[in-house]
Amino acid sequence: MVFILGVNFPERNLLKKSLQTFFGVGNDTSSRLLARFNIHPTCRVGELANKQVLDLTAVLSDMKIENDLRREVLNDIKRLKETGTYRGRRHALGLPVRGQRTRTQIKTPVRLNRMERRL
Amino acid sequence: MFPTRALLGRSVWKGPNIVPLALPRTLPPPPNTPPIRTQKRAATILPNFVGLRFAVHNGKTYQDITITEEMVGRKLGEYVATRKRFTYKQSKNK
Amino acid sequence: MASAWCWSCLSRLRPTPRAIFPSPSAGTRITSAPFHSTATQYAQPVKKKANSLTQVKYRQGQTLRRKKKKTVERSRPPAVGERKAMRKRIVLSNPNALEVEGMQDLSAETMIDARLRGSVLGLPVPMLDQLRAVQAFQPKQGWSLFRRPGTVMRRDAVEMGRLFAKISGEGEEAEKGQVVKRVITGLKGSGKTVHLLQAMAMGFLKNWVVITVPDARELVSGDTGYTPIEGSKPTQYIQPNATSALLNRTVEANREVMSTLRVSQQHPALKGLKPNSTLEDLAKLGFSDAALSWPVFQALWTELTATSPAPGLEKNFQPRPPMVVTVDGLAHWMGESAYRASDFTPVHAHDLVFVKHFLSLLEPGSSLKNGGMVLYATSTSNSPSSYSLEVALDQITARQEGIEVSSPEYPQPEPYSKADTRVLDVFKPQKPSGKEGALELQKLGGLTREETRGFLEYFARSGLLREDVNEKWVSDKWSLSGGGIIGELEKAGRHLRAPAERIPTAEAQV
Repeated sequence: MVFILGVNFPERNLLKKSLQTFFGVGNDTSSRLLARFNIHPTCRVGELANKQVLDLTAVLSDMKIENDLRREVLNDIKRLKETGTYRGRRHALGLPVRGQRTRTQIKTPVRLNRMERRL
Repeated sequence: MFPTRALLGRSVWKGPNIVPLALPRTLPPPPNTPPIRTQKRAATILPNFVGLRFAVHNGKTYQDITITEEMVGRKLGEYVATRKRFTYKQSKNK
Repeated sequence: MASAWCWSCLSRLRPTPRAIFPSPSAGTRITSAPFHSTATQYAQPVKKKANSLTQVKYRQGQTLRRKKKKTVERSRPPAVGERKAMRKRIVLSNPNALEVEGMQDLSAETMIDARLRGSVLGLPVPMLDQLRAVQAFQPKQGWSLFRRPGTVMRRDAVEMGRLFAKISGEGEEAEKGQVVKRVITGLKGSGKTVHLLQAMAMGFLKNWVVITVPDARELVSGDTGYTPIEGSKPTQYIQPNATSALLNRTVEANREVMSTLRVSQQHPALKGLKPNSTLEDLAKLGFSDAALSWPVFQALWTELTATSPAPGLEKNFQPRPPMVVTVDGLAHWMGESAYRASDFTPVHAHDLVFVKHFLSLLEPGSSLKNGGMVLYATSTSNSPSSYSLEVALDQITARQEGIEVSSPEYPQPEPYSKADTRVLDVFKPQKPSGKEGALELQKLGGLTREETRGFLEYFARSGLLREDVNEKWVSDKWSLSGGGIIGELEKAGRHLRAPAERIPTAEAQV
């Protein structure tokens, strides 16, 4: 088990996939992170040297990920609502925001867009 | 990687859509400032609009909005809905 | 038709509604004019009411609802590395195959004997461990068919055997210390890898040092660690684990030679090296500490290519043997690797020092100072496409045919193509200097008909093939295999066909 940013990862997991479990780190970001510290793409978590773990943790803790990012996204939506824009209203009504049709197939916005939005 | 998705809506080289709005030279002080009537919903809200009142056309009537600091950079039309919420009305003569 | 209709008193019956009629097939339809000839008589029969299962109700899900299968209890997944081990497993012997009588072993005599062309020579049993260590055998090569591994002596193999004898300084035209550099190409299944295997086997026979890269792809596919060398420009990368594995292979295979040779040069970079240690000890330094593996490999290389001892270390020096260096899958090294630099740009394969080292052996002023062979194989069928490599190989062919570099016929990359100059530079023209030959291109084709016959007879004598191996049949198979492509011939040979009357006997079930 290796701790990266306070999360425990099993040693046989792929490092790239493990980094992607953080909210806000996707395929591109994790590839770039690996390249930055010269870690090969198929590296397992267990193969990391101690220094590399520390480096990764240091960089990840500087990035806006996990709860910080969630809060930012929620704040953006909240701002839209408060200034009374069309987009904000659509968020509040649980309807699609970006001009999609609403006759059918709006299950995702119905599920996600609500007054107290959670991510 | 894009700096922000907001820039995607319009090419950067075009700059913001600056519409020549007929802003009066001098506005009477509040509370009896008349709103600026306009149909130009696509006009970008510029920083010097802050504090003014606009009466923006919604396709049928003019609705008043007061510009605040947060609205700068967005369009006038975003704050005035063009559609009515559907409500079911009981009709009397069945 | 037993009808409900009374034929004698039609008039008294009212026409029955059509619906209760049994569905009329061609023969049962009433053709005689009934009492009331109304249109309903000839109307289409009423459709059968839809089955309640197929009938779809409005706003109802249309998917078929089935009970979910119960999840099957699964056993634990195989342990880490088990699947890979199964995939890479190499079986060299089939106890059910017949022992081929009178089969000769590959030896210093047989490998240059032109009379044995077309016969299959067994690989000496003590050498198998060495060959396994350098990963000469590949899983899909059909070694598991026969009682013991053997290779067919084709024309190219005999010719190579002669070269080995020549470089080792035997025979009349001995030229000790000569360096032969070859790129081997050929279709899929044409025997390139087995040709390399034969080279390794001959190298072991002659007590040369054998250094191999069995799969060039592994070094560029991003599956092994890499670390940049500080201060190099453009940044070069070491692959510690791959280098460590290479050292391991080399020591395992060449223990006999390397344990007799002693360190004769100064290696200030290696602190842990004791004076008067053997090359085996030197290489072992790199096993345990992967970070040290590249300096160790460099030290080992300078030792192996040393022609004279460093001052002060004369008593340890023995003449170094020639070397065989083989790389399989050269085309993988001719482009960008899967590694990324720290600014996320792809790393060119030639920026990996491991790759660069082996490619530099092709360039003039080779580092094989004691002679030897550099054999790099690449497939023309199944390899990553590299335009520059194609052009470079065409250029080598042109040079072999005697076309001057300055002449207009000399192949050049298309003017607007983005040819990789780094790749072209590796194969750039070179004057044969001293004992070092020019870079050659060897195209492996199919076997000749005689060699084909010898190869297929070996199948028959191993009991795999119950077929009368005659001229016509061999010729047939030779044509079917694309002109003697050995991989296709093997498919023909392993296709076991036993005549029906022989099957019940115990002998046929071997």
